[in-house]
Amino acid sequence: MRFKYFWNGIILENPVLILMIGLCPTLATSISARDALGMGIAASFVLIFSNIFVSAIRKIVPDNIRIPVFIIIISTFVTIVDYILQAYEPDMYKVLGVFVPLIVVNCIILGRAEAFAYRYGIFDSFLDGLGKSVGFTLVIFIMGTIREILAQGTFFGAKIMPDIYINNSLLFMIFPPGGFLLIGILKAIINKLFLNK
Amino acid sequence: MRQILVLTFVCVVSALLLSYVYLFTIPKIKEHKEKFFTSALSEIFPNIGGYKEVVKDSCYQILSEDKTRIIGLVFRTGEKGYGGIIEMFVGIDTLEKVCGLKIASPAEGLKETPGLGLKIREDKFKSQFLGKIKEQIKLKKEGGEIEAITAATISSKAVCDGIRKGIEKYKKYLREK
Repeated sequence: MRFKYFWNGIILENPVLILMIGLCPTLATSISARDALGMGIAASFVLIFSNIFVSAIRKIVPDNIRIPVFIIIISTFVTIVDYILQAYEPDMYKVLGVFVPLIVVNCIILGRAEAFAYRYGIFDSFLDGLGKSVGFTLVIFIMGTIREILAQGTFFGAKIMPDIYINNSLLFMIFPPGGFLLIGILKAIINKLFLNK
Repeated sequence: MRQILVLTFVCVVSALLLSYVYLFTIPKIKEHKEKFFTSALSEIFPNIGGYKEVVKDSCYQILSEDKTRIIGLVFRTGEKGYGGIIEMFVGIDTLEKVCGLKIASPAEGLKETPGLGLKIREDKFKSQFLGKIKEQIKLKKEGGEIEAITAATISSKAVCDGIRKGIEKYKKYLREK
Protein backbone atom coordinates (compact mmCIF):
# COMPACT_ATOMS: atom_id res chain seq x y z
CA MET A 1 0.00 0.00 0.00
CA ARG A 2 2.81 2.35 0.83
CA PHE A 3 4.12 1.89 -2.68
CA LYS A 4 1.42 4.21 -3.92
CA TYR A 5 3.75 7.04 -2.86
CA PHE A 6 6.13 5.74 -5.48
CA TRP A 7 3.60 5.14 -8.28
CA ASN A 8 1.86 8.47 -7.71
CA GLY A 9 4.97 10.37 -8.74
CA ILE A 10 5.11 8.80 -12.17
CA ILE A 11 1.70 9.68 -13.61
CA LEU A 12 -1.02 10.84 -11.21
CA GLU A 13 1.22 13.32 -9.39
CA ASN A 14 3.86 13.71 -12.05
CA PRO A 15 5.82 16.79 -10.91
CA VAL A 16 6.14 18.36 -14.34
CA LEU A 17 2.97 17.44 -16.19
CA ILE A 18 0.42 17.33 -13.34
CA LEU A 19 1.80 19.40 -10.45
CA MET A 20 3.41 21.79 -12.98
CA ILE A 21 6.51 22.44 -10.85
CA GLY A 22 10.17 22.38 -11.87
CA LEU A 23 9.36 23.72 -15.30
CA CYS A 24 12.48 25.85 -15.77
CA PRO A 25 15.05 23.04 -15.66
CA THR A 26 12.70 20.91 -17.74
CA LEU A 27 12.51 23.48 -20.51
CA ALA A 28 16.11 24.64 -20.29
CA THR A 29 17.99 21.34 -20.25
CA SER A 30 15.80 19.20 -22.48
CA ILE A 31 17.63 20.22 -25.66
CA SER A 32 19.16 16.79 -26.16
CA ALA A 33 18.56 13.31 -24.77
CA ARG A 34 21.94 13.20 -23.08
CA ASP A 35 21.67 16.56 -21.32
CA ALA A 36 18.13 15.76 -20.25
CA LEU A 37 19.12 12.44 -18.76
CA GLY A 38 22.06 14.06 -16.96
CA MET A 39 19.82 16.72 -15.46
CA GLY A 40 17.23 14.11 -14.51
CA ILE A 41 19.75 11.94 -12.70
CA ALA A 42 21.44 14.88 -10.95
CA ALA A 43 18.12 16.29 -9.71
CA SER A 44 16.93 12.79 -8.71
CA PHE A 45 20.00 12.24 -6.55
CA VAL A 46 19.39 15.53 -4.74
CA LEU A 47 15.65 14.93 -4.39
CA ILE A 48 15.95 11.41 -2.95
CA PHE A 49 18.68 12.27 -0.47
CA SER A 50 17.18 15.55 0.66
CA ASN A 51 13.83 13.80 1.21
CA ILE A 52 15.50 11.11 3.34
CA PHE A 53 17.46 13.61 5.43
CA VAL A 54 14.64 16.08 5.89
CA SER A 55 12.44 13.24 7.04
CA ALA A 56 15.14 11.89 9.38
CA ILE A 57 15.57 15.15 11.27
CA ARG A 58 11.97 16.40 11.01
CA LYS A 59 11.27 15.75 14.72
CA ILE A 60 14.14 17.87 16.04
CA VAL A 61 13.70 20.80 13.66
CA PRO A 62 11.51 23.59 15.10
CA ASP A 63 8.76 24.71 12.76
CA ASN A 64 9.95 28.29 12.31
CA ILE A 65 13.43 27.44 11.04
CA ARG A 66 12.48 24.51 8.85
CA ILE A 67 12.94 26.34 5.53
CA PRO A 68 16.57 27.39 6.21
CA VAL A 69 17.31 23.85 7.34
CA PHE A 70 15.79 22.43 4.14
CA ILE A 71 17.85 24.80 2.06
CA ILE A 72 21.08 23.83 3.82
CA ILE A 73 20.37 20.13 3.30
CA ILE A 74 19.43 20.61 -0.35
CA SER A 75 22.39 22.82 -1.17
CA THR A 76 24.76 20.36 0.50
CA PHE A 77 23.63 17.62 -1.85
CA VAL A 78 23.68 19.94 -4.84
CA THR A 79 27.29 20.85 -4.08
CA ILE A 80 28.16 17.17 -3.77
CA VAL A 81 26.59 16.49 -7.19
CA ASP A 82 28.43 19.49 -8.60
CA TYR A 83 31.84 18.23 -7.48
CA ILE A 84 31.20 14.62 -8.45
CA LEU A 85 30.09 15.64 -11.94
CA GLN A 86 33.14 17.87 -12.32
CA ALA A 87 35.43 15.06 -11.26
CA TYR A 88 33.91 12.07 -13.03
CA GLU A 89 31.70 13.42 -15.83
CA PRO A 90 33.45 16.63 -16.93
CA ASP A 91 31.84 16.60 -20.39
CA MET A 92 28.37 16.46 -18.95
CA TYR A 93 29.27 19.06 -16.33
CA LYS A 94 30.19 21.51 -19.05
CA VAL A 95 26.87 20.95 -20.80
CA LEU A 96 24.71 21.20 -17.69
CA GLY A 97 26.82 24.15 -16.59
CA VAL A 98 24.78 26.67 -14.66
CA PHE A 99 21.84 24.35 -14.22
CA VAL A 100 23.54 22.21 -11.62
CA PRO A 101 23.75 24.95 -8.97
CA LEU A 102 20.21 25.90 -9.92
CA ILE A 103 18.94 22.53 -8.68
CA VAL A 104 18.94 24.30 -5.28
CA VAL A 105 15.95 26.34 -6.34
CA ASN A 106 14.22 23.53 -8.24
CA CYS A 107 10.69 23.78 -6.87
CA ILE A 108 10.21 20.03 -6.97
CA ILE A 109 12.86 19.48 -4.33
CA LEU A 110 11.90 22.18 -1.84
CA GLY A 111 8.25 21.42 -2.57
CA ARG A 112 8.58 17.74 -1.67
CA ALA A 113 10.62 18.53 1.44
CA GLU A 114 7.89 20.87 2.66
CA ALA A 115 4.81 18.97 1.49
CA PHE A 116 5.89 15.41 2.11
CA ALA A 117 9.21 14.63 3.78
CA TYR A 118 8.58 16.98 6.73
CA ARG A 119 5.40 15.08 7.60
CA TYR A 120 6.11 11.42 6.78
CA GLY A 121 8.58 8.73 7.82
CA ILE A 122 11.92 8.03 6.24
CA PHE A 123 10.85 5.08 4.09
CA ASP A 124 7.73 6.82 2.77
CA SER A 125 9.78 9.92 2.00
CA PHE A 126 12.32 7.82 0.16
CA LEU A 127 9.52 6.27 -1.94
CA ASP A 128 8.01 9.66 -2.63
CA GLY A 129 11.41 11.05 -3.68
CA LEU A 130 12.06 8.05 -5.90
CA GLY A 131 8.64 8.28 -7.57
CA LYS A 132 8.88 12.01 -8.23
CA SER A 133 12.42 11.54 -9.51
CA VAL A 134 11.36 8.87 -11.96
CA GLY A 135 8.44 11.05 -13.08
CA PHE A 136 10.67 14.08 -13.57
CA THR A 137 13.45 12.18 -15.32
CA LEU A 138 10.98 10.41 -17.60
CA VAL A 139 9.35 13.64 -18.78
CA ILE A 140 12.60 15.54 -19.27
CA PHE A 141 14.13 12.56 -21.09
CA ILE A 142 11.16 12.19 -23.45
CA MET A 143 11.30 15.92 -24.20
CA GLY A 144 15.05 15.82 -24.75
CA THR A 145 14.73 12.88 -27.12
CA ILE A 146 11.96 14.46 -29.18
CA ARG A 147 13.70 17.83 -29.37
CA GLU A 148 17.03 16.30 -30.32
CA ILE A 149 15.54 14.12 -33.04
CA LEU A 150 13.41 16.89 -34.52
CA ALA A 151 16.04 19.63 -34.38
CA GLN A 152 19.28 17.79 -35.05
CA GLY A 153 18.22 14.39 -36.42
CA THR A 154 20.33 12.62 -33.80
CA PHE A 155 19.75 10.51 -30.70
CA PHE A 156 22.49 10.60 -28.04
CA GLY A 157 24.61 12.25 -30.72
CA ALA A 158 24.21 9.36 -33.20
CA LYS A 159 22.63 10.17 -36.55
CA ILE A 160 19.28 8.46 -36.99
CA MET A 161 17.55 10.60 -39.59
CA PRO A 162 18.43 10.77 -43.30
CA ASP A 163 20.62 13.67 -44.47
CA ILE A 164 17.75 15.24 -46.36
CA TYR A 165 15.93 15.70 -43.04
CA ILE A 166 18.97 16.99 -41.14
CA ASN A 167 19.54 19.71 -43.73
CA ASN A 168 15.93 20.88 -43.45
CA SER A 169 15.25 20.07 -39.80
CA LEU A 170 12.84 21.80 -37.44
CA LEU A 171 15.66 23.84 -35.95
CA PHE A 172 13.32 25.86 -33.76
CA MET A 173 12.70 22.80 -31.57
CA ILE A 174 16.04 23.43 -29.90
CA PHE A 175 15.04 26.98 -28.97
CA PRO A 176 12.66 27.96 -26.16
CA PRO A 177 9.53 28.09 -28.40
CA GLY A 178 10.07 24.43 -29.29
CA GLY A 179 10.28 23.55 -25.61
CA PHE A 180 7.08 25.39 -24.71
CA LEU A 181 5.21 23.88 -27.64
CA LEU A 182 6.30 20.37 -26.76
CA ILE A 183 5.45 20.65 -23.06
CA GLY A 184 2.01 21.93 -24.05
CA ILE A 185 1.47 18.95 -26.32
CA LEU A 186 2.60 16.49 -23.64
CA LYS A 187 0.34 18.16 -21.06
CA ALA A 188 -2.59 17.89 -23.43
CA ILE A 189 -1.94 14.19 -24.01
CA ILE A 190 -1.70 13.50 -20.26
CA ASN A 191 -4.91 15.45 -19.59
CA LYS A 192 -6.77 13.50 -22.23
CA LEU A 193 -5.49 10.10 -21.13
CA PHE A 194 -5.50 10.34 -17.34
CA LEU A 195 -7.58 13.29 -16.22
CA ASN A 196 -10.48 12.80 -18.65
CA LYS A 197 -10.64 16.44 -19.57
CA MET B 1 17.94 28.09 22.04
CA ARG B 2 16.86 24.89 20.36
CA GLN B 3 16.76 26.71 17.04
CA ILE B 4 20.39 27.76 17.36
CA LEU B 5 21.47 24.25 18.30
CA VAL B 6 19.61 22.63 15.40
CA LEU B 7 20.89 25.10 12.83
CA THR B 8 24.47 24.79 14.10
CA PHE B 9 24.24 21.02 14.06
CA VAL B 10 22.92 20.93 10.49
CA CYS B 11 25.58 23.36 9.28
CA VAL B 12 28.45 21.49 10.93
CA VAL B 13 27.36 18.14 9.49
CA SER B 14 26.93 19.74 6.06
CA ALA B 15 30.37 21.39 6.22
CA LEU B 16 32.08 18.15 7.23
CA LEU B 17 30.39 16.21 4.45
CA LEU B 18 31.31 18.83 1.85
CA SER B 19 34.94 19.10 2.89
CA TYR B 20 35.24 15.32 2.60
CA VAL B 21 33.74 15.30 -0.92
CA TYR B 22 35.95 18.24 -1.90
CA LEU B 23 39.10 16.45 -0.75
CA PHE B 24 38.61 13.38 -2.87
CA THR B 25 37.27 15.11 -6.00
CA ILE B 26 39.69 18.03 -6.33
CA PRO B 27 42.65 16.05 -7.75
CA LYS B 28 40.41 14.63 -10.50
CA ILE B 29 38.98 18.07 -11.36
CA LYS B 30 42.47 19.55 -11.72
CA GLU B 31 43.50 16.66 -13.94
CA HIS B 32 40.61 17.30 -16.36
CA LYS B 33 41.39 21.00 -16.67
CA GLU B 34 44.99 20.12 -17.45
CA LYS B 35 43.94 17.61 -20.11
CA PHE B 36 41.82 20.09 -22.09
CA PHE B 37 44.78 22.44 -22.21
CA THR B 38 47.41 19.87 -23.20
CA SER B 39 45.23 18.50 -26.01
CA ALA B 40 44.78 22.03 -27.36
CA LEU B 41 48.48 22.69 -27.05
CA SER B 42 49.61 19.61 -28.97
CA GLU B 43 47.15 20.45 -31.73
CA ILE B 44 48.47 24.00 -32.18
CA PHE B 45 52.21 23.40 -31.66
CA PRO B 46 52.97 19.74 -32.35
CA ASN B 47 56.72 19.79 -31.59
CA ILE B 48 57.76 21.83 -28.61
CA GLY B 49 60.37 21.64 -25.94
CA GLY B 50 58.10 22.84 -23.19
CA TYR B 51 55.91 25.69 -22.10
CA LYS B 52 55.84 28.28 -19.38
CA GLU B 53 52.69 29.68 -17.83
CA VAL B 54 52.99 33.48 -17.87
CA VAL B 55 49.43 34.42 -16.99
CA LYS B 56 47.63 31.96 -14.77
CA ASP B 57 45.23 29.75 -16.74
CA SER B 58 45.32 31.98 -19.82
CA CYS B 59 48.68 32.58 -21.45
CA TYR B 60 51.60 30.27 -22.07
CA GLN B 61 54.98 30.88 -23.70
CA ILE B 62 55.98 28.05 -26.03
CA LEU B 63 59.65 27.13 -25.96
CA SER B 64 61.68 25.69 -28.83
CA GLU B 65 62.89 22.12 -28.65
CA ASP B 66 66.21 23.09 -27.08
CA LYS B 67 64.30 25.35 -24.67
CA THR B 68 66.41 28.44 -25.48
CA ARG B 69 63.97 30.55 -27.48
CA ILE B 70 60.33 31.47 -27.32
CA ILE B 71 58.73 30.26 -30.54
CA GLY B 72 55.23 31.44 -29.88
CA LEU B 73 52.37 31.90 -27.47
CA VAL B 74 49.21 30.00 -26.74
CA PHE B 75 46.50 31.92 -24.98
CA ARG B 76 42.97 31.22 -23.91
CA THR B 77 40.39 33.79 -24.89
CA GLY B 78 36.65 34.02 -24.80
CA GLU B 79 34.09 36.25 -26.43
CA LYS B 80 30.34 36.41 -26.15
CA GLY B 81 28.76 34.69 -29.13
CA TYR B 82 25.12 34.05 -29.88
CA GLY B 83 24.43 31.44 -27.24
CA GLY B 84 27.09 32.17 -24.66
CA ILE B 85 30.83 32.56 -24.29
CA ILE B 86 32.86 31.04 -27.12
CA GLU B 87 35.98 29.72 -25.51
CA MET B 88 39.06 29.08 -27.58
CA PHE B 89 42.78 28.50 -27.50
CA VAL B 90 44.79 30.52 -30.00
CA GLY B 91 48.40 30.02 -30.95
CA ILE B 92 50.51 32.83 -32.44
CA ASP B 93 54.08 32.68 -33.70
CA THR B 94 56.83 35.24 -33.13
CA LEU B 95 55.55 37.41 -35.99
CA GLU B 96 52.18 37.65 -34.21
CA LYS B 97 50.55 35.55 -36.94
CA VAL B 98 47.88 33.09 -35.93
CA CYS B 99 49.22 29.57 -36.28
CA GLY B 100 46.55 27.54 -34.60
CA LEU B 101 43.01 27.80 -33.31
CA LYS B 102 41.05 25.40 -31.17
CA ILE B 103 37.48 26.23 -30.28
CA ALA B 104 35.83 24.42 -27.38
CA SER B 105 33.35 21.74 -28.47
CA PRO B 106 29.69 21.74 -27.37
CA ALA B 107 30.67 19.14 -24.78
CA GLU B 108 33.21 21.62 -23.49
CA GLY B 109 30.66 24.37 -23.10
CA LEU B 110 30.09 25.87 -26.55
CA LYS B 111 26.48 26.98 -26.86
CA GLU B 112 26.17 28.10 -30.48
CA THR B 113 23.27 26.91 -32.62
CA PRO B 114 23.80 23.56 -34.36
CA GLY B 115 23.75 24.02 -38.11
CA LEU B 116 24.50 27.75 -37.87
CA GLY B 117 26.87 29.18 -35.27
CA LEU B 118 28.34 25.77 -34.56
CA LYS B 119 29.97 25.88 -37.98
CA ILE B 120 32.73 28.03 -36.46
CA ARG B 121 34.30 24.72 -35.45
CA GLU B 122 34.59 23.56 -39.03
CA ASP B 123 37.98 23.70 -40.77
CA LYS B 124 36.56 25.72 -43.63
CA PHE B 125 36.00 28.63 -41.26
CA LYS B 126 38.93 28.10 -38.92
CA SER B 127 41.56 27.78 -41.66
CA GLN B 128 40.87 31.36 -42.72
CA PHE B 129 42.66 32.60 -39.63
CA LEU B 130 45.96 30.82 -40.21
CA GLY B 131 48.83 33.14 -41.04
CA LYS B 132 46.77 36.29 -40.49
CA ILE B 133 47.88 39.18 -38.32
CA LYS B 134 45.68 41.17 -35.97
CA GLU B 135 44.64 43.82 -38.49
CA GLN B 136 43.38 41.22 -40.97
CA ILE B 137 41.22 39.39 -38.44
CA LYS B 138 37.94 41.18 -38.98
CA LEU B 139 34.86 40.26 -40.97
CA LYS B 140 34.99 41.33 -44.60
CA LYS B 141 32.22 43.86 -44.16
CA GLU B 142 34.20 45.49 -41.36
CA GLY B 143 37.28 45.79 -43.56
CA GLY B 144 39.05 42.57 -42.65
CA GLU B 145 39.65 39.36 -44.49
CA ILE B 146 37.44 36.85 -42.73
CA GLU B 147 34.41 35.51 -44.55
CA ALA B 148 31.52 35.24 -42.06
CA ILE B 149 29.37 32.11 -41.94
CA THR B 150 26.03 32.72 -43.62
CA ALA B 151 23.31 33.48 -41.03
CA ALA B 152 25.83 33.27 -38.20
CA THR B 153 27.46 36.69 -38.27
CA ILE B 154 27.38 37.10 -34.49
CA SER B 155 29.27 33.87 -33.87
CA SER B 156 31.78 34.63 -36.64
CA LYS B 157 32.37 38.13 -35.34
CA ALA B 158 32.82 36.85 -31.78
CA VAL B 159 35.63 34.53 -32.89
CA CYS B 160 37.39 37.43 -34.68
CA ASP B 161 36.98 39.79 -31.74
CA GLY B 162 38.17 37.19 -29.26
CA ILE B 163 41.32 36.49 -31.21
CA ARG B 164 42.05 40.17 -31.82
CA LYS B 165 41.63 41.10 -28.18
CA GLY B 166 43.74 38.14 -27.12
CA ILE B 167 46.62 39.11 -29.38
CA GLU B 168 46.45 42.69 -28.18
CA LYS B 169 46.47 41.62 -24.55
CA TYR B 170 49.17 38.98 -24.62
CA LYS B 171 51.58 39.89 -27.44
CA LYS B 172 53.99 41.54 -25.02
CA TYR B 173 54.82 38.10 -23.62
CA LEU B 174 56.40 37.17 -26.95
CA ARG B 175 59.36 39.35 -26.03
CA GLU B 176 59.53 39.01 -22.28
CA LYS B 177 61.51 36.24 -20.72
